[in-house]
Amino acid sequence: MPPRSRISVEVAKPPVDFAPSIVVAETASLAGTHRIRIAANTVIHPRAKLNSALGPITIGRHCIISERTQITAPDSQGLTIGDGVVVEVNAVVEAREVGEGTAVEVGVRIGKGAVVGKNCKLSPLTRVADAEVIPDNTVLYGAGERRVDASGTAGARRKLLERHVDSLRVLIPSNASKWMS
Amino acid sequence: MAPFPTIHISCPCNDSISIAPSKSSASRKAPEHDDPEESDMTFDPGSARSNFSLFPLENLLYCEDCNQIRCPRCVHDEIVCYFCPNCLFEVPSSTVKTEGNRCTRNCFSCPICFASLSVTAADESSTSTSPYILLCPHCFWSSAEIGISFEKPTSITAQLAAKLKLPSLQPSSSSASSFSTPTESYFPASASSTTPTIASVETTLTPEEMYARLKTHYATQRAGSGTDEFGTSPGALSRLMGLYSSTLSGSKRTFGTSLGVGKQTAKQKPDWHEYEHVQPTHDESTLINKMRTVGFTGTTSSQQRIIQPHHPLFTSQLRPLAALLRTKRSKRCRACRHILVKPESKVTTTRFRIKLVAMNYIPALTISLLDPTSVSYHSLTPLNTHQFLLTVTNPLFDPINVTLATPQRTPGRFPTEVTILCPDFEVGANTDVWDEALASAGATSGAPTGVQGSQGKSRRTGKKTGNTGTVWDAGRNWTTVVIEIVPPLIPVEGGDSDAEGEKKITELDRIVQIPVCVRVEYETELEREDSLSALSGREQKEKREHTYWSVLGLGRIGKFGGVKSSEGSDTLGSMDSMPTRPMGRPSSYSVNKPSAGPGLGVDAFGASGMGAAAAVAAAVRGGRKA
Ligand SMILES: [Zn+2]
Ligand SMILES: [Zn+2]
Ligand SMILES: [Zn+2]
Ligand SMILES: [Zn+2]
Repeated sequence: MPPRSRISVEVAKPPVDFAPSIVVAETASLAGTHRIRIAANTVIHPRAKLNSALGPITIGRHCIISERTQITAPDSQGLTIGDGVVVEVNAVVEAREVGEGTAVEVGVRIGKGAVVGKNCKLSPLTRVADAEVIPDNTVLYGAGERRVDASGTAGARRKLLERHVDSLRVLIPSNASKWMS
Repeated sequence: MAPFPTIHISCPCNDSISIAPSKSSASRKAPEHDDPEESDMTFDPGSARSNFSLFPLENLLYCEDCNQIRCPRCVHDEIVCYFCPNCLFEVPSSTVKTEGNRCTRNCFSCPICFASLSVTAADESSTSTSPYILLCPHCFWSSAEIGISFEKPTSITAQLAAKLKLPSLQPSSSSASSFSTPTESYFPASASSTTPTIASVETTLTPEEMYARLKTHYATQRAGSGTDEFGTSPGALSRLMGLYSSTLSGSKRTFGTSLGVGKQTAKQKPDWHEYEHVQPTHDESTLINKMRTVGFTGTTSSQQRIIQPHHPLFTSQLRPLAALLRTKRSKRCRACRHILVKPESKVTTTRFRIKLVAMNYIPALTISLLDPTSVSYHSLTPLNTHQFLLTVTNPLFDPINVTLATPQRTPGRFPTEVTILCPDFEVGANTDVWDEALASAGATSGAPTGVQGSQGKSRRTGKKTGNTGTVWDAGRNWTTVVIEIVPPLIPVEGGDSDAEGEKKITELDRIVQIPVCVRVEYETELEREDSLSALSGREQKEKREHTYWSVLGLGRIGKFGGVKSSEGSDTLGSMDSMPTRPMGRPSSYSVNKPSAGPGLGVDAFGASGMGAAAAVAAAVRGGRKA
């Protein structure tokens, strides 16, 4: 849809608050009027869409926002993504909060105003309803099944993620200055 | 909703005559069983037996020696090798016999979500004592949840077996002696942590322990019997009989007396008793209490419970599941024992040494609607004529003569009228595509402009087959004919309760299934240099014939004057009138003399030799624009 992309270019850039060490791809789309804060060592892939039209977006450290994701603030209270969160391809996040160390996998939809706890895992194509609260360490998998992660591997996962971020830093050319001006 | 159309081929082993061993190798020449009775019999797709003989072409094999289709029922499977699907390690069959059909290396699947587990280094912060755990990368189930961790990342099966055995070893020292190395058997120990409190030492053994004891007992017995591991020799057999008696002279004693000394056997193997005695079924209050504490999430789902050998009730009793082995199999003809399929024995190669699939021997049938825009396969209009295109594709390197036979009315309570407009025709050889292209390039340069676009046709008309007029279309190695059906009107259900003698109308009555007898004749050059062909060496060509029944599932009968067709006629206007024409139409329909509805571009057919299907498509396009 070429006409739409042209409009999004013309849309006013949202005010941003970037840490110096982040990676934001040239073709990532940041739109809206509220502030978008991105903390250190976070990677925004090409064609990821962040929309702060309704509220501010805050993304923590060591996060990976993959391509073709839609990160949208649900309302004026905004959206907060904690440290070490991975949002995989095609995921739609309209939550109020996504807790630290949570993995949002391919094609997951998090409904408006939902709160996802820390170290959760939302397996591919699972859904979180609007305004739902997911407690810490919950694993959503299969056909809507849930269980509590008692493996205690959150720390190991975080270490892997940090290494992943380091490798992406080499691979993805960053152009944060595009939004900083 | 079954997808239509369906094409199935009936394997003649249904008749159970042809399964008898072929007479000899002399019968390799064209099996000319031209008995007229066979052709009189109409295959009934609705009969209970035919369910078991109908297969899609892709599932069929072909025996060159019997000149016959072979279905999964009339082939014999032989296991070439066992392998683990996870680590692709080939497991020797002797190991399968002793260890069971599960991977004995590091391959396990998750007891919660059945994804394959990976050996992971445990977190320093976690409570597990040993450095490695089995972790499910999908749902994060870990072996630490059931209190199991590993010292080293290899030979997990052995470590797991040792860990699962350990707690149950203590109560009876007698059972401990009977265990050999932990790798000998992987059988998860009993789930019941609430150890049954039955007084006898023997009965405190879990079923797994008893099994292990029994197994070692048999192993020692078999060790004496030499290399014959199947126990087929008379000596081994008598020893096997003697296993149940304490004395070694088992061969001498009769069966009756050996039963009499049953008491003595207790020394060597535990007495039989009911499995339920081991389970604390008499005390359900503890179970209920436990359910109360762990809650719904602490109990297993039926799927999780059934797949485990000890059927645990709680997730805390789940065990990692060792990966089930898979097999590579070769297939033999049951009649002549020749090999039809033989895979490469190496696990990692997917090639086949021998693969005689029916697709390479018998022509393939495909069905499509003549005008897919007007009628859906799922709502055929009763009492209207529907036209389908039946394409016969020849896989052979010789041209074939195809004769299609079909009953005028299909068998069943509500017969469909069937007409194949051109039941006898030729299909070209499956020649090299490039040869064909070169040949036709030369032909079209001199041919009139109308012929281009259908190269096969130009060659076909050059061969002067008699039926060109009635064949719908033809190509290099395929020919399409038109098949017409008139589905029956099925009475509305429920309305007439007076017809109590009649059976209820089932979904099966609504499906149009047409049995078609396909008879293929062709001449082929003799390939084999066996004694027989050497004797009759002068005749180079051999006439062959193959006949089989196939069942075409053309669709489902909808309601009379259904919504779908009326909608279609609204949008498409007069174009729709062709396939849903009333049944009064003459059935001598042909390409050259189209008696089609008023909207059809009649000129497009007659004037040029353009492909008729293309002409219809052009007419449709023109009609839409207008
Ligand atoms: Zn068969
Ligand atoms: Zn394996
Ligand atoms: Zn799992
Ligand atoms: Zn055979």
